[in-house]
Amino acid sequence: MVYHFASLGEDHKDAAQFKVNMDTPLLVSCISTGFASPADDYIENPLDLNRYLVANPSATFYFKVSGSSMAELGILENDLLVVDRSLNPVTGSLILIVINGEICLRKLGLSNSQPVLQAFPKNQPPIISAMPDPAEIWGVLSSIIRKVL
Amino acid sequence: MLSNNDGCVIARSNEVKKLGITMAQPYFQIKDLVKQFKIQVFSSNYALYGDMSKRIMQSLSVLAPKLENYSIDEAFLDLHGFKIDDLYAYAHTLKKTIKQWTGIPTSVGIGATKTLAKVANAMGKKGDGLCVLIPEIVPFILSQILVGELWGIGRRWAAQLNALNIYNAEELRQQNISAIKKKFGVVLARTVAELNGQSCRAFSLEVEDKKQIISSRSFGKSVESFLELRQSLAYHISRAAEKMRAQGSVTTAFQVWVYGCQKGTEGRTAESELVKLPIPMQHTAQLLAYGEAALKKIFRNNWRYKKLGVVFLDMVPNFESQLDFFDQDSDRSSLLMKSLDGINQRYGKGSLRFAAEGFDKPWSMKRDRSSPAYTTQWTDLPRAFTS
Repeated sequence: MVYHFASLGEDHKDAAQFKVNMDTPLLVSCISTGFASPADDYIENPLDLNRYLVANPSATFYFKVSGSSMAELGILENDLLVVDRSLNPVTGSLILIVINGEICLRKLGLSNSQPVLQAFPKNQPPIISAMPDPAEIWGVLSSIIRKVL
Repeated sequence: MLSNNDGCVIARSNEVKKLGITMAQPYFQIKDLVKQFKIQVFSSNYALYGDMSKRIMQSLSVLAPKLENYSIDEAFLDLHGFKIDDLYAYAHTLKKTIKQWTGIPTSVGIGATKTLAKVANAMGKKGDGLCVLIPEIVPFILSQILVGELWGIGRRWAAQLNALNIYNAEELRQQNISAIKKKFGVVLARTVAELNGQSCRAFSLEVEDKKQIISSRSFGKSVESFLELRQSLAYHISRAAEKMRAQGSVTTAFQVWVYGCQKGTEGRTAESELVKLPIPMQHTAQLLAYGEAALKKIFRNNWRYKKLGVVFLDMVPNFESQLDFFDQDSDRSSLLMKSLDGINQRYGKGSLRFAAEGFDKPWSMKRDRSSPAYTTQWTDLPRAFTS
């Protein structure tokens, strides 16, 4: 099949990338068959979940959730976590932090205008503890992914 | 960390170094120490190392104008145009960013040439991992370094230089370049020029096509049957052919070799067979057929084989190869190979393969202590605990 890019126009910013992403089927017409597609002037890239979910691929890591005690925050057992180490945590951030050699999911909260760490043990109210050394923070949660089938 | 087949120690933590465990020491020699000090031992996990290396290189390419990916754990950055006064802060930013993004500690050495940058890096490793070799301190720093520690100077050259009363790098720097060139050749002359701040090792931004591709591996346990040996051959031919197609080459000849010994004896005897192909090839199935014929010639009953390998020789770019007038199928077969490589790229190495490779692979590499492929396999993802 012959793809043609002439109709993209010179000002199409993503033209270079468009060519690279050839493995995804694109809405382009074949030069040799009949009329040009009226959609050719309006071609856009297909939606790419990687671009939606991953801002910095070099710094992005994936985890699976163990435990269901954060269900109220919308995080279920076996959810897929997208963790970006290049983000700086702020109040309200969900973060991964190393506690006793295990990577744990916690929330950064505010108590008496002091930053604190909130843990969510099973069937108990959240436990508030002092803000840890930032060096112990493993990364900041940027997305939660769950397949429903 | 152990080498392929869990044979020798290839990487050590500082704590383990202090126990006197040396590089390349066979694993069986340290088993008692491992027990006594509860040392954590891992098989090589190249899926993880390769991915982490790629992440670091990608991060660097965001942070630096020009990058040469020198090896799995080394890169050169071209910092032309930076002010000398800004370099230390820049090195600090690089180190801090890589650590935050990937978790990997690095050391940064900056010098006027690649050779001096390597020296700076070695100096940095002794301290906080950062070193900028400004011209004023070069003579003093070089006087602290033996010639044998310099990039590209091996034991033989070091001994020859010592015989000429050249012991440290500063003494080498002061040598007359053309005299060195006469005595040792252009490579060492370049090193001397580089020590003097004259850049001789160009930045190579593009990987050159390889002229040869080797795929070989020691067996996890010795192999005696032709069937298993042939499976291993099919595996290595498939891997080499995939790499060859990735760089757009075809091969006109390859060599198959085995190491082994007669049953009941010890030692290693090599046997090899050169295969000259009638036309340049890139199709795995065709290569497998020629490979099997070659293996039949060197296989002996009543032998125990320890290792097998293939090397593709005389590779040329695909478009240069002369098309065989009678090879009507060449278009279809190259499409087939394209699909095969595409599928394996998308779904993981070896997802689709020739049945000739076999299924159980009892000969395959021993990796009893491998850590998970945390960053490259959905099934191996690490866990985050909610409580």
